[in-house]
Order: sequence, then structure tokens, then C-alpha cells
Amino acid sequence: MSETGGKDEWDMRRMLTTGLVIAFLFGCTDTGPRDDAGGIPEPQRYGGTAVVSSLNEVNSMNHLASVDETSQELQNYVLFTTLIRYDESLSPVPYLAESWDTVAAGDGLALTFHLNDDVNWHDGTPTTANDVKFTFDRIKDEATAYTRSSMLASYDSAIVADAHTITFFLNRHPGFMDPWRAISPMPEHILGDVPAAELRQHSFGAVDPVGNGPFRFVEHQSGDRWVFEANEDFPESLGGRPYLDRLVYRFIPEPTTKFTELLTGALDVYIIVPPAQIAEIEASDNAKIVTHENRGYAFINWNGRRPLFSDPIERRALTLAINRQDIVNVVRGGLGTLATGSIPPFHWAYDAELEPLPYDPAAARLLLDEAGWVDSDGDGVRERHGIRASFELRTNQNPTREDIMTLVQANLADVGIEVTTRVQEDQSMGRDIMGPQRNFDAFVLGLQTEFNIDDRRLFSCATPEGPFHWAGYCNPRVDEILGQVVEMSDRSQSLPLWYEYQEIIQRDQPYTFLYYDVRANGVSTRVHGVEMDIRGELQSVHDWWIAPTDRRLAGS
Amino acid sequence: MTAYIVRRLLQAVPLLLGILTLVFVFMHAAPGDPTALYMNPSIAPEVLEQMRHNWGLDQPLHIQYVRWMKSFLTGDFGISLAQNRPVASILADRIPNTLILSGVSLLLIFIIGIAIGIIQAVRQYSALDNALTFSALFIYSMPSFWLGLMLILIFAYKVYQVDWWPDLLRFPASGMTSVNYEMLGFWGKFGDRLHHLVLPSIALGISSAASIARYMRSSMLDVIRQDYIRTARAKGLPERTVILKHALKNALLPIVTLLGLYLPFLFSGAVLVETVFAWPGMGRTIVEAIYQRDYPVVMATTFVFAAMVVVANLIADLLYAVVDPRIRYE
Repeated sequence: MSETGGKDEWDMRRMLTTGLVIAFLFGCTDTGPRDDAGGIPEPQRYGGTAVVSSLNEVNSMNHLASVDETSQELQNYVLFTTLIRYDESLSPVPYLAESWDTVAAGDGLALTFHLNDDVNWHDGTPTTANDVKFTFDRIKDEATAYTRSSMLASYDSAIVADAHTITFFLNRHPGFMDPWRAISPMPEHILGDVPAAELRQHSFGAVDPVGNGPFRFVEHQSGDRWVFEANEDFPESLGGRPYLDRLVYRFIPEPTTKFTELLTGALDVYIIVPPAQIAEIEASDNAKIVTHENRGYAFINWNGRRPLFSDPIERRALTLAINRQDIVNVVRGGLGTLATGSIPPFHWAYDAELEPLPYDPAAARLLLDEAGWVDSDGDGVRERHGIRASFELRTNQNPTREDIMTLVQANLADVGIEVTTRVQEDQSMGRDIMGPQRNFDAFVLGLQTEFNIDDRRLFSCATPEGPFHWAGYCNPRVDEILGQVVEMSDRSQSLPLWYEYQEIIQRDQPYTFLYYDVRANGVSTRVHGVEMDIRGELQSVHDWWIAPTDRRLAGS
Repeated sequence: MTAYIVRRLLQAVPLLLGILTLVFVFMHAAPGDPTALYMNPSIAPEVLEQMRHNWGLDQPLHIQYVRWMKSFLTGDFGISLAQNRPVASILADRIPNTLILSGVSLLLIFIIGIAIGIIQAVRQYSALDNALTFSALFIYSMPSFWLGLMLILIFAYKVYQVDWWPDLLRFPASGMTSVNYEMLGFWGKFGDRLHHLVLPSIALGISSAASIARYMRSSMLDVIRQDYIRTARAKGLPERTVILKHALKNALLPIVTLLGLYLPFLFSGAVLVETVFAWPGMGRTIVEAIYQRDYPVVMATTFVFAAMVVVANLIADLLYAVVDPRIRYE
């Protein structure tokens, strides 16, 4: 009956996400009292090995070199420590920094962190404010080519007051604390002498990383696994020693293989389960499905430079003609909520009142007629001024998106628009959609948002030639809003602007927003304490535990 | 003989350089570059520019080519742009893994293929021969990755739900070693590795074994019709000696040619099998490197593959001389 359970949880999630009660949402991500019913007292939870696998291979633990999602989670939650963390309601809580304060400095801000003084690197050297300063300096140094350097764009400089106190000077902007949730300071005593341009390829990343987090590095077999073990000396103030003895991250490319490994007990946490495997995992006694909201959304980008997509009326007609709920149900197995724009429900600025456009092919036909697109030669495809309403929809090699294209093709054929589909290798599609010629009609892709959303690279009028200005969309009011909200640190002040932004995007439909992601993950029933949410799949890894009788024996 | 080997190896040098140059040109002509890994609206385009600069990708192509060739000729494969570590250490990790897998498969292919071929030839047109022919064709028609998935579903998944099925025949679905490998004793480790090899080497080798069996059958049939076999039988030798001593060596000649042809085939098949079984080998490395436009890794792996093919063909040619005394290399 776990399947019904999953559905109920799902419905509850839908209800909740329409409100802003994010804190409550995490309550239903499983575990809690029910799991503790096994009667395993706290001291017996220490021990055992958990094996995790996700989509991509993790190549480096060097935070300055690699910040894809999985690497970042392993860095921030396993091997290293960030200055702060987010709690369930996404407000900052102390971690490596035990406290912080801000004072006005000129027209900007001085932000001072007081670090815990009992955190050591795993080689015994204390973690100090100099490590934070070193990491900050390298990120600000262009030669490092730190990919997320724009996170610190409003940060100006840093001063180390003493070994455990560091002050940053910055311009006021909303979410100025957010970078410190994402950045794990790197050890200066190891990397301090490495030239910035060579940091990326230093052996620290893949061969001998030294962390300061709850787990220490044991080994990395490239293409296969990373092994971490509990850090016995992890200070109590940061949570103390984790329950698990060992944590293994394995790279298994083929989903069927991961599925098999999960159900036979060789894998404990299978991150991102494709919809087709969910039912069988739920039916199994060995594993369960844990779903959680994610920061991504899927969309169809219309190339606004083409006559068929140049006007909001036509783009709205296209959205009305596409049965998006059907896409969520069929392609995603129900995992997703209908999207209204580029701000997912987890975000404080998400407008829950805004109704997604309905599926209404009749209204779509009417709009197309009004816009002058009519089928005058009776071949089933509309045309205007001799231009046929026919275009090529493409995507990269991704089974979900290929299925989406097929459904969209059928939906649009119903309203007299002809769609041809094309699946393209990632990089050659990248050339076509990012290149200055914008050699494409429309494509299906997904985007992962940050906690601080800044859509200017997608929609700003100022940079029509920017690589991500796929839609060729320009609305002066949107520009104005996007420029203002990134400077307002008071959320109540910017909220009306964010709402207006979402309404305009809904009206103009530069993209057809399909759905906000909901992720399904497979978790072995042996592993308790697994709580996944918007902060990531590994965010509770410190508290995962396995009952003594369920642990792997040598040779099994 | 030595002179012949040296000559063959020298001939291979321009061939390998030509291959490398072609691959270099094709790789750089393909759209995109390694920074595309980081293409994301939240990442500033200037950062990617800086990355290209750090990697020397902003230089004109011919300069990049000369620079790469120079360091390659001095034995330096460069640094992987996606894995952030020296290519030489990646090769050192991955080549042995692929050699273990394809070596075991090769052994399987020839032992099983030859044995079945002999049995079929000796029992020509018997029910056994027909059954083996049928199954050989059946297996031969299966793509290796599909076969791999089926093996996983049956021998690494379904059998776990059958209580009486022996543990030894419940195979692991992926990887080269178990998670607790380090905690095992010497024989435990050895057994664990063998256990992990079973399914991938079968998936990789079985269809080739089927085709070797076909070749062996016909070659053996040719040989046992020869006069000297009749002579051997006439002088009263047991059938076993006739087949295994007199006929086999001659029947093996065409099979040896296949050895040279199968090595590269095994490597290409390994790409899919390594993906399905999460085997950290060369095949997967090269495919991932191509998708990521990790130029140094693509160049180095291409070189290794090409060199292996050259060497494998040379070995096959030398084996001719061993099997057939009429062939001599001067």
C-alpha cells in the first residue's frame, strides 16, 4: 500500500506548495517518529556503510574547481563545512560560523563572521578565518575562473580581524548571506601557494583532498567511487560525529543497473529515479520512494525572432494548446506541478495566487485566428502572409524531453500547427541556440534556479546577444523590475514587484513553462533519518543511521 | 624476425601520427568546447572565457596542435579538462580495468568458441550440432548492451527473489569490487573480483564466442576431410588424438587471424558493456571525454586504442608463424 501512501503525500504536497508553509512541507518527507519505533537507542545508531549514487560522476572535491550539484552536496554536507546553513524555512543558521553581525559601513554593509574555534582540517591544522579569506580571494581572482563567482559580485573586500573573525564589506543586496551556504572554504595551508589559474588541476581535487567536515576522505577510484569515513573529532557544536562509519558515493551510469543495485541491497540511496521505475521500487520491501521539491523547471523556449513566435498572443495560444497536466502525468508520472513562470514554489517570491494557464485548445484556435493564422488551403496547417505555421522543436538527448516533444507535437497538430522534432547532441544544440545566429525555432529544456533568482540573463533587453537570451524577449517593464528587485534587501518591499513580474511573464509567455520539478529518489529501508528537500538529497547525511542488525557484513 | 617486428612498428608511426592529427582536427571542428559543462545562466560568460584562457583554448588551432604534439612527443599527455587531473594517471587507472575485462572475455571467447566448434564439427548434422548452431546464431544476433541488461535483470535481480538459488550464482550488477572490498582477506578479494567479472565478461564475449564457434566448425570440417587425417585414422590412432593433435593445429590457422580482428572489436563493445555494468574502463572514458570535449583525454585514449590495434594485429601475424611453419618473416 506504499503506492497509495505516496499518492497521498503527493496530494498533500500539492496543497502545501500552493501556500507558503514551506517549513511544514519537510515534515512529510518521511522518517520522524515512525522510523524510531524500531526502538534502537541513540548510542547504537553509530556504525555501518551507506552507498549513494546520483546522475553524474564526481570528479573533484576542490570547491574552487567543481560546483555541479552532486559535487557541491558532497563538499558542503560531507567533506567540508560551510559558514552557514539553511534551516527548513531557508533562513540562515550557524555552522562553521557560530554567529555573525552586520553594521552599516558607508552606503554599504560590513558583515562579520565569528567562526567556531574547534574545527580542524583532517590533517590536524585548525580551520581559521585565513582559510575563509583565502577562499574569498581566490573566488574574486578572475584567473581562478570560479564558476559561481557572480554570487559574490556585490562583495568588495575582506579583512581578517583575528584567527576566528572575518569581516566582509559589501553592497546591500537581498540574500547577501546566500553565498555562505554554498561556499565551502578551502584549506589555505595546502592550496595557498598554488597559482590561481592552476587550482583547478591541483591533485587536491581528485587525489588527496583534506576536508574539515563530518566525514573525512578515504579514497577515490576514478570512474567508480569516492569513499568517506566518519570524522571522530567533528566538534559537538557542529553536530559531532555522524552516525555512519562510512559513506560511499558510486557512479553507475545506467539507471536499470542502479535500480537493480538498490533493490538487491548493494545501493542505499538512488538519487533521481526515472518515473518508469517508481512503481516497482514502491512495491518492493527493500526500498521506498522519497520525493521532494526541487529548484528546477522545464520549459519550451520560443525563438521570438521568428514570425510565428514574435507576438505574446501567439505564444499564449501555443501554451493554451499544450496539455501540460497531461505531460506531467504521462511523462513524469505525476512528479511535477504546473508552472506559471520562472520562480518555483519553494521561493519566497513565488506567487501562489497566480493560476496556471488552462489547457484550452478552443481558445488557442480563436487566438490564432485573430492573429491572422488561418488554414486557407485546407491542408490542416495554418498560414499567414504565405508563411506556414510550421516549426522545428528540438531537445538534447534526454528521454523525458523527447517524450514531451511527442506530446507537444500531437497537441499542436490539433490546432493546426505543424511540428517536426529533432534530438540533438548537447553541444551542437548549444551552438545553435547560444550562437549569434540563433539558428533554431523552439526547444525543450530544463533550468535549475538558484536560491537567489536573477533572470536578467534570460530576459533583459540590455543584452540581446547574451548566450542565454534564447527567447529574444524584451519588455521594458520587466527590465525595470528585474533591475530593482536585485537591489531591494527588504522582501516585503520587493514582493509586489516580484508578483508583477510573474504576471507579466504569464501574460507574455516568452517560454511556455511546463512544470516545476519534483524529484523522486529511492531509499533503502535499512537507512533511517534520510530527509531530502529543496536544500538537497544529502542535506541530512550527518544523521543517517542503520540499525546494527541491518549493516553490511564483510563478504556480503 | 626481430627485423620484421621493428619494421612493422616503424610503419605504425606515421599511421598513428596521421590518426592523431585527424582526431585533433575532427574534435576541434565539432561544435562546443569543454567549458560547455559549465554553461548555465547563473554562470557569467566571462568566467568561461577565463577558463578557455587558462586551458589555452583561446590560441589559434595550429598553435594548439603544435603545443599538444610537442608535449605528446615528450611523453606528456596533458591534464584532463573535465576530470582535472593528469591524463597519464587516468590512463594508468583505466587501462588495466579494460584489459582485465577484455582479456577475460577474449579467453572465454576462444576457449568456449573453439570447444563448441570442435564438438559441432565432430558431430556434424547431429541433434547436438543443430541445437548449438541455433543457439550460436541466436546469441550472435543479440547486441551486447541488451544482453548485459538481461543478464543483470536475471542473474543480479530476479535470482535474489528466488530463495533456493545459491548465493554464489547471485551476481553483483555493477562495479569491479564490492563496497566492503577493503575489509576482505586475500582470497575474499580475489573471489570478489571474479564474481564481479562474470556478467560483464559474458555480456562482452558471448556473441563473439558464438561466431568463433561457427568459424571453428567450418575450418575443422575442412581439415578432417583431408588425406592426412584419413591416414592418421587408418594407422589406428584413437579419434581423440586425431582430432586434438593432428586436426586442431591446422584448423586453428584461420582462427588466429580473427584474434587480431577481435581485439579492437572487444574494445568498442566494451564501451557499452562498461556503461551498463558501471565498469570504470577505457571505453567509457573515451565516450564521456568525447561528449565533454575533453580534448587531451580524447587524444590520449585514441592513441592508446590505435596503438593496441596495431600491436594486436602484429601479434596475430606473429602467431601465424607459430601455428604454420610454412609462414616465415624475414
